[in-house]
Amino acid sequence: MNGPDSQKYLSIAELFNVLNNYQLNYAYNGDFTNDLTERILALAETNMEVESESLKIKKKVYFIIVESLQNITRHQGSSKDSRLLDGFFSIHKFLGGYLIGSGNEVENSHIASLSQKLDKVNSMNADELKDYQKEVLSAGGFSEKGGAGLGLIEMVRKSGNKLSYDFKKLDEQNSYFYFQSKITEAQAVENTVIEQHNYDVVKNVHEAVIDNNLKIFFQGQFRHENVRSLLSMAEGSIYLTENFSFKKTSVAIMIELLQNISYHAAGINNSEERPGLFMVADNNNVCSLITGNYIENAKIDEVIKKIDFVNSLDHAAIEKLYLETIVLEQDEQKRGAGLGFIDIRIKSKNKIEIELVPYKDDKSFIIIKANISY
Amino acid sequence: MDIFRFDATEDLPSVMFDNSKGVFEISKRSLPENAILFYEPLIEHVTEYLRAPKEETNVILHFDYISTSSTKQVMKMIMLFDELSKTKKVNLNWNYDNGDTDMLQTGSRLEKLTGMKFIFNEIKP
Repeated sequence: MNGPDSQKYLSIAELFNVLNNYQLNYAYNGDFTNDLTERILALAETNMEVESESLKIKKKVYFIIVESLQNITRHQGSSKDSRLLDGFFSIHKFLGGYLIGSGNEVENSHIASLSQKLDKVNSMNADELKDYQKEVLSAGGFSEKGGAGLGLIEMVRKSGNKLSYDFKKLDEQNSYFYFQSKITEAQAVENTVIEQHNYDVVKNVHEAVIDNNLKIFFQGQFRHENVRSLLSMAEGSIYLTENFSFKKTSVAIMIELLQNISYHAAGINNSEERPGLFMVADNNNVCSLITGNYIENAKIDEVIKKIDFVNSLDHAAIEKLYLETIVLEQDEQKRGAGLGFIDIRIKSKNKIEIELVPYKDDKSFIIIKANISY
Repeated sequence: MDIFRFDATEDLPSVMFDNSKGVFEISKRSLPENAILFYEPLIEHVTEYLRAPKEETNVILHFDYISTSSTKQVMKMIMLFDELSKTKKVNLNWNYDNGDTDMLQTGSRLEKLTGMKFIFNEIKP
C-alpha cells in the first residue's frame, strides 16, 4: 500500500488538493447496502439537477452509476474485516463529461473470465456491440452472480467510451478490481488530468482515500436540496449509523456544518453559488466531520475569533454562552441563530479545528473539522 | 382556523395544532432552509390561541433532529406557552428517543430559559 506515491497523513487541504487533481466530485468507501445505493443515486440526481446538466447526459450518468453500484453490491467481498475489502465508488466531473469509478474485491480465480468479458466488449465497434447484445439476450445465459455481461455491453454503448479496468493483488485468494467508465458529451473533451491518468484515476483516488481513512467525500453546490440529499446519503452509511448515540451526535453535527455552508459560503462566480466540500474520515475511533467553503477574507477574523472562543470555554461556560446566545435578538437578514459552533463544540466534546488556504486576493478556502470520539 | 396541520417531509417536522382541544404537537425533523419563515405561521397560530385558551393545554414536542436555527424559533413558541402557564394549566412534554442525550440536553436548556417546568419523557422504540 505504501509505495513511493503513497499520499499518507496529509493535511485536509493537501488531501483536497490531491483529490481535486482527479476532479473528484464524490467518493464513498465502505459497506454498500441497497439502502445506501438508493441514497447515492438520489444525491447524484439532485447534484446534476443543481448543476443543470442536460437530460441526455443525466440519463447516461444515472445509468452508469446504477450499473457500477450494482457491480459493487453484487460482488463485494464476504469478509468485512479489512478496510481493503470495502467497496469503493467515485464520481469525477470534468468539462465535457463524467467518469464513474468503482472498486471491489474479486476472487483471483475470476480474474481471467472477467478480463476476457471486458476485453471482448472493449474490442467491438458500435455495430458489433449491437449484434453481440442481441446474441447474449437470445442466449439468456446468466453468470453465477446474476450478471449476463449485458450490463457491460450497455455501459460501453451508453457511455460512448471503452471501459478501463485493473486488478491489484491482495493475497493468494483475492484481488481488488478497479473499474471506470467515462461518459462524454459529443466530441468536446478537455485535455484534463483525467485524460492523462486515464487508466488509474480510480486506483489513485482509492489509495489516497484509504491512506487518509476517508469514508465519504463530496464537493459541489451546497444548496438546500443538495444538503438534504447529502445528509440522507450519509445516514445510509453503516459506519455512521451502527451505534445509536454516535449516529445522533454525528448527524446533528453534520446538520450544523452543512447548514453553515448553505447560509454563509461565498460563491466564486456569483453570490448565488455555494461551492463547498464535505468529508467524513475515521482515525482510531475518532470520527472527523469536515466541511470546506470559500469565505471573503474580510470575514475570516470574525470566524476564527468565534471558533477560538468556543474552543477556549469549559463545559459550564459554553452552556452559559448557549443560553445567552439563543435569546439574542436575531437579525431578520440572517437565517442562522449564531448557535452552530457552540452546538458543535458541546455535542462533539472536542475542539473545533480550522485550516485556511488562500484562494484569491479577496477570498480564502476555510476548512472546519469537528471530531467525535466514539 | 382551529386546526393547523403540516405533514412531515424529509427535513420538515410533522405539526398538529388543535385549538379546540388545546393540543399542540410537533415531531420528527426540523431542518428547514429558513427556520424563521417556517415557524412564523406556527407562532402566529399559538398567538391566536392565547386570545381564547382552554383551561388545560398540552404541548408535545418530540424531535429526531432539530437545527439550532429551529431551536431558537421553538424557544420563542415555548415562551408564549410559558406566559400562558401563569394563568392556565400547561403541560409541556419534551419527548426524546431512548438514549438520545443530545435531545434531552436541548430540552433541559430550553427549560432553564423559560422557568416553566417541562415533563421529560424518554420514548422507548
